[in-house]
Amino acid sequence: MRALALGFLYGRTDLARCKIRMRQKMKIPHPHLRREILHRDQLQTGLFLLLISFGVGILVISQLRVKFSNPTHPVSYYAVLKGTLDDLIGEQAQLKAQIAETQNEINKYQLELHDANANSELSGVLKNEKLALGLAPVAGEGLVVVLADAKNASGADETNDSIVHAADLRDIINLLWSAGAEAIAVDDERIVQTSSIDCIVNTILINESKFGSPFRLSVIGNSQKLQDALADHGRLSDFYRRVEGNGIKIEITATKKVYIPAYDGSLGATYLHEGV
Amino acid sequence: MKKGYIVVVVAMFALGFFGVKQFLMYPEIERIKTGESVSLVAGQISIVAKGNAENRKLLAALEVQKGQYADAVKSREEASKLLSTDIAGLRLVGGEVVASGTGVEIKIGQSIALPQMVDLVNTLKNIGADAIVVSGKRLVLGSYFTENEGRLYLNGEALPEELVVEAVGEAGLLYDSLLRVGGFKEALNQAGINDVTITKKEKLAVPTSTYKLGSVYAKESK
Repeated sequence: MRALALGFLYGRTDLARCKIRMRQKMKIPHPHLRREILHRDQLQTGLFLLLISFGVGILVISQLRVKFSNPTHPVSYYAVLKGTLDDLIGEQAQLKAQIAETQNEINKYQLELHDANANSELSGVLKNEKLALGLAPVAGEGLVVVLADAKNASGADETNDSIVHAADLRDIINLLWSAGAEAIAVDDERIVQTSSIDCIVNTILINESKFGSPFRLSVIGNSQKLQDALADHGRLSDFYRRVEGNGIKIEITATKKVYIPAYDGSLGATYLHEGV
Repeated sequence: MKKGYIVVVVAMFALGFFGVKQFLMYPEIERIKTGESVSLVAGQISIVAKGNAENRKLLAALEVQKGQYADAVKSREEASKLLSTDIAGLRLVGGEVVASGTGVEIKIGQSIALPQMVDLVNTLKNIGADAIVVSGKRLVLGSYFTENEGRLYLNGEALPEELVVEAVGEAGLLYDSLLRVGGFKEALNQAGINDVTITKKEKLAVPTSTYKLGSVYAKESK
């Protein structure tokens, strides 16, 4: 209508030209152009929606892929198992305490036999055997060595190189024996000839007991010799590479008296028999 | 266009919802990535449960031993018998007497590195070996390995390049554990050590140990 009025005012019959001028003035695009713009808008909206749908799709698929095997609740199996594990660890502590108590009572009887001078020779031999095999508590000069994961190990930057491994403990213990250690314990768990040190998930198993970082090694022996051996980076090259490069901690303290408890497990042999 | 906006709003809401959900689930995903998953906790349970079963057995055996000692205190003869049995048992495991038993023999025809030797001995102990002999030398408490110019030493004595490691224990279990996928043989193979032969043995002769742990610094403590 406005275009018609303008055409009348200008006295022109060329309505189309008026319409163009009007559109230019009012910034209204030509119908062809308008359709094109409309088409472009739809295309943009479509692309935008496509992108959003794609994003939603990725998130939905991620959600489905992290779905746990438990159909009811993703963490309930984990919670139940963790509870069972905690119960078993509690039971383990209880059993160890009972074993230690019974062992103490046996020791008292053995001492009684020794003191009564009846079989005192045999009692003495038994005492020495137990001492040699780690079945009696000992104390003496030595070192306390603390090994710990790098400080950020529990955070996002955790790497295989920033934690203390079971293999590190094995290598260090082997090195300490070679330097004349006479008794070793890790977190008060006595190392005996059947002790194995293994890794399970992010804990270390020694004599079937679980330990986590930091690990406290108590060592009895000539403290200077033991310190010199530990200071030899060439003998623990991989460990010291990670101490220097990844922040694993090692603290060595020499002390006049280190106490190491007796092994509270069994040293009995099932398949080994005396004689050939 | 109005319809388009509604769709965009709904889509954005869904995007936000899933985004937040994913964010909240991140710690759980991280925990799984770092190994604290259900199957690994189950693995820990089996190990601790096995240890507890062994501890219960040990406790039962100790109770019997305690009863025997309680009786032995009253009779010199009984005491002597009991003490002798206990001493013999400790001497057997301590490597003071010649012994024998079933087990496996591991022949390694190539030289291996010190950490591999330490790991092999640890593996055998973990499987439950009662005694371990390396190239004719029995391992006892305090036995150690060193390495010098590519050669391995046991308690300061040089070992031959071709090693023979004998482990007394449950032969089938030792054999299967060493040969299973991911077992020690595979680990050696991956390190380029292929000349490894593992054989079950009905009878392995175990010599006495020539090594004795020092007792200069470690004194019995009450």
